[in-house]
Amino acid sequence: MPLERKNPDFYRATKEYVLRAHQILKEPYELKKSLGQMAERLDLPVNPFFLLIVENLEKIKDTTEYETCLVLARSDETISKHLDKLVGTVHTTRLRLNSENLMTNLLLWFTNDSTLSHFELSTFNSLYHRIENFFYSDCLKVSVVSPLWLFSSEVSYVPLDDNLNIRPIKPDEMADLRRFAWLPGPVSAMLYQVRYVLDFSFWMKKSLVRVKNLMCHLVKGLMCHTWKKHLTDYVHFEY
Amino acid sequence: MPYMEKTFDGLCALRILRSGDVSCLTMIERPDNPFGGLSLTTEFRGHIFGQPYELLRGDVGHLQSIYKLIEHQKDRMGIAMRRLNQSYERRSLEDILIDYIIAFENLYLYGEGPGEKRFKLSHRAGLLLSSLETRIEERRKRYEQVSSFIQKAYDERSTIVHGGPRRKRRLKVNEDSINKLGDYLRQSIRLLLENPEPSLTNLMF
Repeated sequence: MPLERKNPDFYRATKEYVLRAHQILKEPYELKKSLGQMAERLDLPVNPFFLLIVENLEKIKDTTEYETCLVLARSDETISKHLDKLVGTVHTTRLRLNSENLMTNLLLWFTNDSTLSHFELSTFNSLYHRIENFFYSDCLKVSVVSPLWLFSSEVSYVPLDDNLNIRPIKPDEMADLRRFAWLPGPVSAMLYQVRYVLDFSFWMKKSLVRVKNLMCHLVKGLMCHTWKKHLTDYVHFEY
Repeated sequence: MPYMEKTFDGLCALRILRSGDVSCLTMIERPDNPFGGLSLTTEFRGHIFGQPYELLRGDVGHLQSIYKLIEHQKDRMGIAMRRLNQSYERRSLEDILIDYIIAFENLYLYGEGPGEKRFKLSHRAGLLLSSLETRIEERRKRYEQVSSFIQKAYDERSTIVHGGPRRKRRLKVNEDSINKLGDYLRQSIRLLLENPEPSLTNLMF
């Protein structure tokens, strides 16, 4: 039985937008692949598909599918609440979403080697499900990953409690760490030798902040932290 | 922040379990959202070159129980655990010695008034750590070893902090002696986490 979508029109429009954009991206993707120009082959810490999309963005923007999807995103009450605001939590990173980077990021989310080669509805649906969760949920799941230096283990997974565990580092986390290769001193070189991480995951209330209200929000966050009231912002979090 | 505290508790449990210079390179927040956004939250404060740490299969249950106990004993043994953690950031062996002795004082002299600290500390540590031995002779021998070693360490710490003449039978501050003191501290924390108020009468007889 198909899942009930929060906004079936936006779901359909997103699917058509992704399919159309992938048609446009296919040729340059194949060409870059055959020329070996993808950034990953050059060992750059940049998502190669981001470069691919940005290079072809004007062509993608000219399509009716792009326009339809954008109009539906703007007209959806919940999705539009996120636009032109900083999305995050009281304590964690705030990501600014606007109409244009929403469409670019949306496409990036659905684009990888496998989806560009062959569209599969089940893969699309599971990826879309996370988009829906992000927009329609009041909470954000945050994972705090701490690479363990000089550490090795005979056991690959060690749960310490429901939220905290020790496990091997994942390739995407290693890629994230490489984005911090500007770290001072030898730390950036040390990142490559990390095998395990301490992973602490928790849910927090989502906050949407207008840029002009940012200072008030930061002060509020600081005061919450100072007064040790920040725990009230946590949900699904047991002490 | 609470998540930092929980992560540091996990790290602290690893450090209490066994020796080895394990540390967190950094902390990276990764919100689970499709539009990315991550940030780095702490700086690296460990030893680049150090003794590797290996978690053995048989250690896992013990590690989990230490982690659970840490949370309940933070008020009572918080200073000892904090000093143990801080010792991993020190470059000087003398600073590590000072951290360790403060941790020992927190464990064995908690709530005590002034006077006879050196004796009380070494005596209690000797009693507790020798309680692991089953045979009386071995227990006595162990008591002597631990209490005399801790007395020397306490004296050395006093000389470092307050200055003054050194005793004849003093502790040589080197990697071996610091590692030995660290092992005693870890054993003490482990035993006191499991049994926060040990009866000294039971330990003696």
